[in-house]
Amino acid sequence: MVIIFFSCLLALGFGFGLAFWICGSMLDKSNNIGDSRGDGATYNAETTFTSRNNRMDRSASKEYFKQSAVWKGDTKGPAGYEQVRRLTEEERQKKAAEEKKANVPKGAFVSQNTSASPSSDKYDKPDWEKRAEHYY
Amino acid sequence: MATLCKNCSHALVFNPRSQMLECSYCGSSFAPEEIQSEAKEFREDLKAENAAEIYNSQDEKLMDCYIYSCSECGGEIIVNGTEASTTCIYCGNPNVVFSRIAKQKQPEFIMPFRITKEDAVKRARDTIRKGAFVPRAIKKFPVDCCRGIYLPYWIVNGTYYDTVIVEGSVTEDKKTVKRYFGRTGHLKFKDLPIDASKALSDDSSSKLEPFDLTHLKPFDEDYLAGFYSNVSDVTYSDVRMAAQKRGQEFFAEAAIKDVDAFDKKVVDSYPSIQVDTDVKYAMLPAWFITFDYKDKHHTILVNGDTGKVVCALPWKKALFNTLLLTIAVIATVLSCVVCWGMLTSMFKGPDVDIDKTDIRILLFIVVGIITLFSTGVHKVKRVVENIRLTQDKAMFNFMKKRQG
Repeated sequence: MVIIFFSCLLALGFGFGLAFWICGSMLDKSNNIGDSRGDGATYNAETTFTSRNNRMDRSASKEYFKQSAVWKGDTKGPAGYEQVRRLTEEERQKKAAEEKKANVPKGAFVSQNTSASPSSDKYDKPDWEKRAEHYY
Repeated sequence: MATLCKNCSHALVFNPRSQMLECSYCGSSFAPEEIQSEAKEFREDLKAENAAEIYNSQDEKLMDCYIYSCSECGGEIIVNGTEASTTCIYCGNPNVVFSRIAKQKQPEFIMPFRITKEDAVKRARDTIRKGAFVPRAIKKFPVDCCRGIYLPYWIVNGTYYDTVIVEGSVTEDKKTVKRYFGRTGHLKFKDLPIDASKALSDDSSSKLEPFDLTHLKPFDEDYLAGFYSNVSDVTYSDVRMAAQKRGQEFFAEAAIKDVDAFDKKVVDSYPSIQVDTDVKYAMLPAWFITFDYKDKHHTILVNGDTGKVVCALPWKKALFNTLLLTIAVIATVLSCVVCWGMLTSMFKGPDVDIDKTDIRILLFIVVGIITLFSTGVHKVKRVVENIRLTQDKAMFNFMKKRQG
């Protein structure tokens, strides 16, 4: 008797679960048209993880969150209430100059040789070239 | 305010099929780049008058309305605070409100319509016709109104930063336990379109994506001829919030994918975003088709570039319920026999001895039932939510409350 009761219970759950899944999927396909939007790949959104921590318990995860969560939002952007607008030509030029300044290569890319003077770097022609010039 | 034909001075209309401005009177056609509007400077100086002042009224409906004069017939053209192009109700000619798109407010790019009105309606009908649960009355819906509207978008680049905690189930010492996974990082996005119209909900407009941005052209107001359009009315805060919401979705998706567990979900997140201030302003095309069903307005959106149809429709409840019950009864009867056989073999003999494998099988079945049930219910819920968007009054008013 107990076995019959439990098998009926399981079968009812499975039967209605399967029916809901099939009908839900069919309804979604039939009546929910174009329910999608651009995903990360559409906008070249490549995610880079700078830190990973696996299989933590709740307290460890809270500690990780406390330490890793740092606010990096806009601080120097226009005020939030200001209407979005295109930058003026002047603002664009100023922005481009700032970006250029910020992107100047530093460290190993910058030559440390301060002794070289323009005159000493002059191209010294080889003898055969000097002799050839004589004829023209 | 309308662009006129060089040959007969009749108003020109942009034809998405030929991508040319065409004159319906003499049949001439011109490429939008060829047309040089002679009176453009004069047009930019045209000033609108506030409708509430003209009619000496305190009616709220008139507070945000402005009146221009039609260059063809001199009739009143009433536009709301963000409309940039419309149609004259008296002579039917297309009109562009130049002062709305002059100088700083002028978009940099425009994606011309590639789908014609007839194509849009045909695509909508063809897509709806395939739906098994769509009522017959909707399949043959009479179009109440169909309007092509250029929607304002800001196309932004930026970097999104986040730290998320993903909760997931893993197997440790042959037991299933809940564990937490931390992920910190950033994602850079490029050319993300953000809807710049407050009147249209982001949930609706984002479903029109993706737009093929390679079809963008330098802005020329002649592309607006024959279509409606709105200008941007959002703030930097709105754009940041919208970009952050999208970034959060992309990051959560990547984090969940990166975690090796099952039943995963993000439980904590600390989002922040840096959006490049040098944003691109573009107008993107969409067709809005409305029809009435059971005293409710429904709006179908069609991407004017790709032809993607967006809507959710009411379903035949009797058919759905009958199918649900039929499948449920058949599956219950069949699985009842299987379950009875399985349980009898498990509890065989006088002394009941259940081993761990049996318990695992039973657990697996129970988890499967819950998953099937919740997935099905979730899908039905999503359809209901999207039907609400299709029946949204704000979207209907955004489209319907235009002149012409």
